[in-house]
Amino acid sequence: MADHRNGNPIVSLKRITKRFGDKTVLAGLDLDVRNGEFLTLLGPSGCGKTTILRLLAGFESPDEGDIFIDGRRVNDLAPNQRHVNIVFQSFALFPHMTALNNVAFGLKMKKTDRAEIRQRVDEALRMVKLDDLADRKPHQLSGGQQQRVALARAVVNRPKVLLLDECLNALDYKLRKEMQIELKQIQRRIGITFIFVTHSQEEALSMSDRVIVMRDGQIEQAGTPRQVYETPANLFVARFVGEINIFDGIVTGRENGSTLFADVEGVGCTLRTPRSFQTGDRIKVLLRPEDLRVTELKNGQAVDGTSIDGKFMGRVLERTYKGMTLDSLILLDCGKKIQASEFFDEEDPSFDYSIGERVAVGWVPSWEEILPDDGKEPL
Amino acid sequence: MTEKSLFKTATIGLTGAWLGFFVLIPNVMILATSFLQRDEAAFVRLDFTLENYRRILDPVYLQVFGHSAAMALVATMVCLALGYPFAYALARTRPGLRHLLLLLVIIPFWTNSLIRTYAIRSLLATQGVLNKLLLFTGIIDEPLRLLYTGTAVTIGLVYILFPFMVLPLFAVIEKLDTRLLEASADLGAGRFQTFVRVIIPLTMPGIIAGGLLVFLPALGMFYVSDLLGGAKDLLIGNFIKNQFLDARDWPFGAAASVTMTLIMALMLIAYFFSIRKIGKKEIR
Repeated sequence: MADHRNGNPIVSLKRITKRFGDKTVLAGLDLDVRNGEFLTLLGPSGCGKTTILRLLAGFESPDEGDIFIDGRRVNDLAPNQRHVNIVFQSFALFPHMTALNNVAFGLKMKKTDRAEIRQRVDEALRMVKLDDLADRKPHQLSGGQQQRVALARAVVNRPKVLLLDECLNALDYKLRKEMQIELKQIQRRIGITFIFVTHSQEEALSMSDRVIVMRDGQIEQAGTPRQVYETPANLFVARFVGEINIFDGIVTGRENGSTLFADVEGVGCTLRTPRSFQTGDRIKVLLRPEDLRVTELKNGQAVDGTSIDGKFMGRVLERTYKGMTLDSLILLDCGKKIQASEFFDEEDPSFDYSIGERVAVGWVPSWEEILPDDGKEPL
Repeated sequence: MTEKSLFKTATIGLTGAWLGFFVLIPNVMILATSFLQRDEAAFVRLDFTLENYRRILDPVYLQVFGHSAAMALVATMVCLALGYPFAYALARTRPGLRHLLLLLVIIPFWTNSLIRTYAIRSLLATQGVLNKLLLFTGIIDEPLRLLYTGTAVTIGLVYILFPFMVLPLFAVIEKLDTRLLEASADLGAGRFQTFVRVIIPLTMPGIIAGGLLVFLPALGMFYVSDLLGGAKDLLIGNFIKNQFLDARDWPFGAAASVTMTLIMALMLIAYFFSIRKIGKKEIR
């Protein structure tokens, strides 16, 4: 048994390659999962995230590379010999069994003592708040309840790793929100490693300790939700995780390490970045809608009296009331459309824009993220 | 009346008339006959009696019914044992080949089953194809006695009724959600446990349907036992035929026929109840 306190990973994928026919789904992928963490594999459909789960569960075997679970190579172990359990996207509850028998199935297969089965199943059903519906068949349960049964059925076996395959997709919006919180709480309470697969960046950010952003069988970035959102490693991650505005620029000068001067869409700006650039480098300036600050213009001057130097001029194309925020779509004079999202200001009840109004757009200094322009076309 | 509703009335009327003339009236006549008395001259005499049904309960006849049911049951079990793996393999074959194999299962239907029974006869006869082949290859020294045995009847019943077992089994196995099998394996079940605890319960409607589709016709296929079986290998169908054609006891034959229909009806009712119990498998 590996000792996790020394930081040995509970799951380790080494140079995994998986092909289906002539399509390579994973190409030499390396991934370590720490014991007890809530890890999310995030990516568009077809990026290989579900294949990773199926490899770990044992439903598929890799063409190249090794899979280690708790220090043991499991490439040749059948699914029923691995200490992992999966919650399927479709739940895959046994339709001919009650919720109770669904949950008890795994323990029965392991010939667990009757009294212990009874006790652990009750405990698992209580955990997912379904103890009073134990005798219902799956078709008598709602989608959310089926989801809980599926979760209890997996957790009751006390797996080393719990795999969750897009399992919130079948639920409606409100229930999905509730289950996100509940999943996180359950994970914290039982301390089992969760590997969660989703294409929803919102789910990934709100639940995970660590997010792995994937594309075309490759890992684009691995980091905390905050790192992935605030300091995306590349344009793909920036675009895939959340809304983002991307400006093109050229470096015009530098000052003591972290300060850059740049011509961004025709406007001279001062930027901050830990990355090093040379004068003349092409760059991308990334700004989230909530980083932007929009000021109304009157006769070419900001109505609040602030300077319009280093700001982009434009006009409001669309405004959307979102309750907590006011989202606007702004067409800049340079021809670029951008999204801004601002919180309502309690001090200023008249805070609103009219469509067609001239505005200046700036951002909170140092909230910008600068990436080299790799010349690749946007998605 | 519009043209459409005229068409509707006409087709329903025609079907109704057909069923009335060829199904309802004959069955009512048989039911009525079963309560009448035998007459040497005119076959039946119009006197009400329950004597025919009392006679069926005679141990001699019950034994015939029991033996017939046993033979039909053996045929059903053989069909199930052969048909289940076949249907499973069929359902897991790639679509192109699957349709070809299904076609091969159905092709024998194109020939009348009586003619196919004669074909089996020539295969199993003492001087038949099978014996000649076995003698020629030296596996046996003298011809096996296959024809006119219970085994031959079973072979005949299995051969003719096999597709009726395979088709309903194929239908349920094809719909079996493979993720349930993955879930079972994921939860620690081996192949055998998955088969017993997941696959069999979920395909039970097909097993029961196939079982009934083989068992019930097998009770009545008198020509199979006539052509292939010995004197003892009577099916209920033979018994009924004998009462009508040989013993000339129409009321008793009718009572036997009604009894067989009742047994079938009871089994079908049991089937529908079991389907209602098992069949609720929609997840969402």
